[in-house]
Amino acid sequence: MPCLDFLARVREAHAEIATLGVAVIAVGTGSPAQAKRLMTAGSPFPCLVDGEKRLYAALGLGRLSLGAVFRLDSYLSYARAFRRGARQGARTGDWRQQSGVALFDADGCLAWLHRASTLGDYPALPGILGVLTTALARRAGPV
Amino acid sequence: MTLGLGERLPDLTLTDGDGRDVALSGFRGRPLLAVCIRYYG
Repeated sequence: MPCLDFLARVREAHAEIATLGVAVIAVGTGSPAQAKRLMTAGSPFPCLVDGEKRLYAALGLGRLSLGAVFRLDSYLSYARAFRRGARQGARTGDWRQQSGVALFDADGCLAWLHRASTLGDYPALPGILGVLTTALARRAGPV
Repeated sequence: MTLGLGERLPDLTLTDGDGRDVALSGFRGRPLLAVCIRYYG
């Protein structure tokens, strides 16, 4: 549920992200049908499925330990997501899968990575926008 | 193999909601923000 809530916030910020020239994809471990439902509901970015977890492995995103899952932060993430209107759907993927947010440069090289420490541990959108702006400025180089 | 900063992502193929293959290399040419969640439920 915090995952869907985060995607909703990325969706809200998508126009601003697109203005920076950055493409966005969502990747999940679960059912393609759920990904399709999000697309049908109007997701402005592709919702993809990584059934073999190859991208997760490349980013070092493994399975969270039970100790990491059952932290107070996890419950607070669920509470915040619920307050914002997110609701739990069918569990089709790995509930202990570590989530993350990665930025690749135009050549496909990893430029920035956030690995979640618990459920719902996503970076704040203003922080992500700051990372994007900084990375793009670095790419442009000195004038 | 876990990527380090600055290392290039191998050409992985994911699937879309219809089960079609989507090559991540198709997104090259501009920066890409990949949001990896647990699942879409």
